[in-house]
Parts: sequence; C-alpha cells; structure tokens
Amino acid sequence: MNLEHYSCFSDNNFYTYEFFNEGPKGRIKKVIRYTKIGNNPVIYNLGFGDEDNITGKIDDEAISNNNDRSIVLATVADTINDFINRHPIDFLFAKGNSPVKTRLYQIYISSMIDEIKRDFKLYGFRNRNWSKFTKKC
Amino acid sequence: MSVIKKTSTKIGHNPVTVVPYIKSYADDPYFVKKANEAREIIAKYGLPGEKKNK
Repeated sequence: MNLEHYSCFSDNNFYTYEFFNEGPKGRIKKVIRYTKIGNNPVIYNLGFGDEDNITGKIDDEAISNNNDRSIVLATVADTINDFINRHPIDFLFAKGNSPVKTRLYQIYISSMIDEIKRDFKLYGFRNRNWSKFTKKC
Repeated sequence: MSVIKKTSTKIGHNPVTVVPYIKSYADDPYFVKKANEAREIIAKYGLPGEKKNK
C-alpha cells in the first residue's frame, strides 16, 4: 500500500508490533499483538490498543484522537502484511470493541477493498452469519 | 515547557524495524481476553464456509 504510515517496530519473533503517533493528545504508543487461537486451520487474532504511559496496560477503549486515524490504520495494515508474510496462517480474526470502532474499521476497509481483495478473501460477521465483505457494509 | 517532536511518517513500503526491547505482551491480560473472545465466537459460529450447529 502506498499510504502514509508510521514507522513500526518488532522483535525477531514478529508477533508484537509497536509504533508511536503524536498529535494534540501527545505521544502515544500503539501495540498490535497477533495471538494464535487455532491450529487447524491456523487462526490468529489481531489485538490492537494504546499502552497507558503510566500503568503500561493496554487499553483499546481509549480514544486518542491524534488527528491521524488513517495513518494509524495504514500502519496496522502494514503489520498485517508483514505478519502474514512471516507466519503460516489461514485466517486472521479481528473485531472492533465498540460499534463506533467497528464502523470506523468498516469505512477504512471499504476504502481499501479493491487492493485488499487482490491478496485476501475478506468476510464480515453480521446477524450470526459470515458473508463476503462488500463496500456497502 | 515541553517540546513535542513530530514522529516521522513515510509513504510506500514500510519495512519493520527489528529492535531487541519489544515487550512480548503474550501474557498481557488485554490480549489474552481478546483472544479468548475470538475463540468463543469461532467456537459458536464457526469460520466462513463452515456449517455450524448454532
């Protein structure tokens, strides 16, 4: 993807990625962790949140709002590409923790759907069913 | 007075920088909780293309 994004960091296991964004709310450490949740097929869960500067705990309910939403999401997408190039994987599961964030992710994915579909099959979960992700979601 | 330095951004391919001090977060309660939630959803509803008794 040819989008603006932050530099990101990982150790040589490439399960945890970190990057920093800065803006009106200050410097915030973003953490992405890929956790294996299935072996056959191989399934990973994508977890994403802000690390609290004081407690070191992860919080995905924080709304950092550093006016860089698209850059943050592009950086997360970068880690997805990097991760799947390094690890065998059949499914990647990701879920927003609130209707607002889910909608945000839907909008972003819709904007990138043509590029995503070149390499991936994308599904959304609605009304207890999986269906192919379409722009009108 | 504090000075905030703007983090640099890039456009184009973004190679990941490997550094030795990345915390694992493998046992972080938040990520463990999210993974367990994901397992529950998949156990209950299956994966795309799977038929699941609901």
